[in-house]
Amino acid sequence: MRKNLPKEVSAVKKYSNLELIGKVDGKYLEEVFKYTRDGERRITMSKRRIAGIAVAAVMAVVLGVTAVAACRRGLSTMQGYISDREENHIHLPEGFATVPAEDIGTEIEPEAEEFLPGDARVTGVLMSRDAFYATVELNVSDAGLDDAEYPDYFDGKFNYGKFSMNAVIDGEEEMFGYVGNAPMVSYEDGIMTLVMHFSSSIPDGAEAINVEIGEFGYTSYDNPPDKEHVAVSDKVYSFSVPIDESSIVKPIESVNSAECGGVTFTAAVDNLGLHFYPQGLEPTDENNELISNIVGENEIGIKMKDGTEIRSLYYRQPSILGSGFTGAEEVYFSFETIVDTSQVESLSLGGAVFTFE
Amino acid sequence: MRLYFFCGKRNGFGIKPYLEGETPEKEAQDLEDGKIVGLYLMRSESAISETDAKYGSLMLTLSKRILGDGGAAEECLNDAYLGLWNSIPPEEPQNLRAYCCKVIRNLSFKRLQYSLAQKRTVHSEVPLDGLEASLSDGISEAGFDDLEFESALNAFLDGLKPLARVVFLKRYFFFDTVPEIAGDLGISESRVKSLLWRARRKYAEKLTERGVGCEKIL
Repeated sequence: MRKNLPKEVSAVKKYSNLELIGKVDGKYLEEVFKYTRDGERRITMSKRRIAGIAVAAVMAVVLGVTAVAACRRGLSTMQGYISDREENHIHLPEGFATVPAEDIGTEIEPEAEEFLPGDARVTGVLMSRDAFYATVELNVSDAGLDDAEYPDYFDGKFNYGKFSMNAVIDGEEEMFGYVGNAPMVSYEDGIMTLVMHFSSSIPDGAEAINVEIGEFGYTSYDNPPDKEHVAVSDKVYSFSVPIDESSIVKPIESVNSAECGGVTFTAAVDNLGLHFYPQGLEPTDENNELISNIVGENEIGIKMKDGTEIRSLYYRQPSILGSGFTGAEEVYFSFETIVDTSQVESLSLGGAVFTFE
Repeated sequence: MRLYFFCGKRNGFGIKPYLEGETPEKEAQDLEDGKIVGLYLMRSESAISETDAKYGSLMLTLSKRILGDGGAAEECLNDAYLGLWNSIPPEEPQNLRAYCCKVIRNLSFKRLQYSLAQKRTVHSEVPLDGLEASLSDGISEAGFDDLEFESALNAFLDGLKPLARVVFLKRYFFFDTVPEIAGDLGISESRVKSLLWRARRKYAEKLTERGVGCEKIL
């Protein structure tokens, strides 16, 4: 025990541990610079998964789900379609009502014959209570981007200076989400496709979600540690999605409960994420940490009706899991892509298996 | 039929307009690291100014995070340049940026320890979120100087996945905050915390396994 020592000596000893980290090999420091500068080895999405999403997004498959080829590590990635643009409607996956165009956006430009340089268009939107997913196409054909060099600039990540989500509650807007970057899934002939993916629970009582996106650009790390947002387009686009039964995808609940780590859970899955619900735990700090540890130590799995199965720990790659939260009341992770819930056979948390009808 | 949405123009960021045909290439006046090292080897004092131009802000920021005091950090920065001048040659760092970071970091910690020993007020931003607890109460002097520790540290880092390694170093070498790390890497803060928690545990396990001189202070 450290007793009877001057406080500053104890402090010195504490800082010594941090000082020792300075003995790191310089190659690991260079790795840090590379990751946060040009993202060459960004590992949130594998290239094959990006290509798979690009197929779904750019082609805008209508209704239903298409399975895509295995990703680099031999695991399947489930793909859902994003939207179609038929009859001025944004169609949600089969089983959900369409959202009429006149309910989306306070002002909608007349349909244009051309997609002009500097224009952006949202080609699909999907929302749950805890996640938002959209694809956006950018016409950057006049931005002077060199097709051959763009990977060095973007490396699968593109930024937009503005992406805010505002909940409309009793007629007043309240921002509840702000995201600053989105993976670029394709870039060809001056058209860039981005996937915007955001996990945040919609505030209670929200009547609509107003989304503003724009000021697209990328981050320059030419003068570290300073970062500069270099604009490609300074336009801002806004649209609104009403919160009603037709616009929010609903989770499908498991038919059973199961135990993991000494805690009983139930489960649910929707197109954008998965949920585990601990049973009988008060949301104390201790219980929150308990659930976080259970989730961290056990694989999370998804098994489809065709036998395809993915199992991953959320902090490891490859993973179809994006951001989320863990706690004594709910464990939630958004998917990195869209999943057709009608094809989900089961979820698992360690040895606990949750089935769906 | 395609759907277009209301669009408006906003320009509140004062950012450089890329649409004017510019390309995001690095500033032409920044020398390559090899050339800067060459200036040191030729004993050209422009090596210092070139280093300052290229890495000065990075080094200063790192020092400020350790010392919590801009004035002290600037003094450290000057000492660091002197340290670079005196160490190159015989050193010929392959990664000048990493080398500069290590020099300023070491100097800043020495300055911090001096301040603590003199009972001066220190408002450091270095994270004490459990790393010190990973190694009981500290490292013995022998352990600190022992090359075995350096080997154990790098073996630990080598055993981490790249993302975990980057997160660990951004936190405990560069002292980025959790939100900063999450923002830089595009991951959630909870994921950052989780990665750090596991890395600290492995850090303690590896050093204990290697028998690095941890000692309890009685």
